[in-house]
Amino acid sequence: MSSGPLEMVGDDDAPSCADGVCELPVADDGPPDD
Amino acid sequence: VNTPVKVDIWSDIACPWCFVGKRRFETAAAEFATTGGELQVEYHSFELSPDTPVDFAGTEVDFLVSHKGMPAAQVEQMLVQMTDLAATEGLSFDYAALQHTNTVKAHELLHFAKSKDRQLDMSERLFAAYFEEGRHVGRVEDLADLAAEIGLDRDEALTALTTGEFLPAVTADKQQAMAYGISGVPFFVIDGRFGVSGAQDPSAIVEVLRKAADEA
Repeated sequence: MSSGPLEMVGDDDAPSCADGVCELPVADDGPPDD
Repeated sequence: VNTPVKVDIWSDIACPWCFVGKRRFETAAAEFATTGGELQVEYHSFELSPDTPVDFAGTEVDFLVSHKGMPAAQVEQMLVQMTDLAATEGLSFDYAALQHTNTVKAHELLHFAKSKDRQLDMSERLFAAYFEEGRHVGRVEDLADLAAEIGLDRDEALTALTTGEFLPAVTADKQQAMAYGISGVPFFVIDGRFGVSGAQDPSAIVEVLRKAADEA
């Protein structure tokens, strides 16, 4: 597998977990997309 | 004939956003498939909290209070929010039943399952067992049970876990994550070129899958 630099794409603010800690859920702005 | 787009996903079982992100990715994959897109998906190991003991003495609230330094009431509210959000993806998180544990053996099991071409089923089984069913995913006997539940040979799985046969594969995944600069999960590497961090909206994933397919 390559270990070259990745081109980062997508939403920068998408939630994730790091160092055993997960980002807090954010309040919904509305109903989920169907 | 379309060339499948390779998707390498780094995640941890004890990662709520990884399970949510898995559902969102599956939604994106289904959308991608409607336009003839094909995917080759592989899961990779990432340990968020490798120092956690197998038999963690406490609840998920206890664990998060110690890690976040937040009041228990605030953590409990956060878990309610996470549970509600997971429900919008069709997931039934049960934090009251969840058994916090070390996940390295679960990662070894994922690699064992990969050697049997059953990694995706094993991943789903482990996430559901951990977040929805209050099952223990740190002890080898419990993990062997979960392997058997998707049709893998229980004794063979137990031997692989006991001997640590797939620990080098787990270590290799962690090293690859470091080489990519991955610091959080879920993390998606598309076609070895594009990095996508976090539990993305399906539309964002579809966009990058199509970009990778068009540029292949």
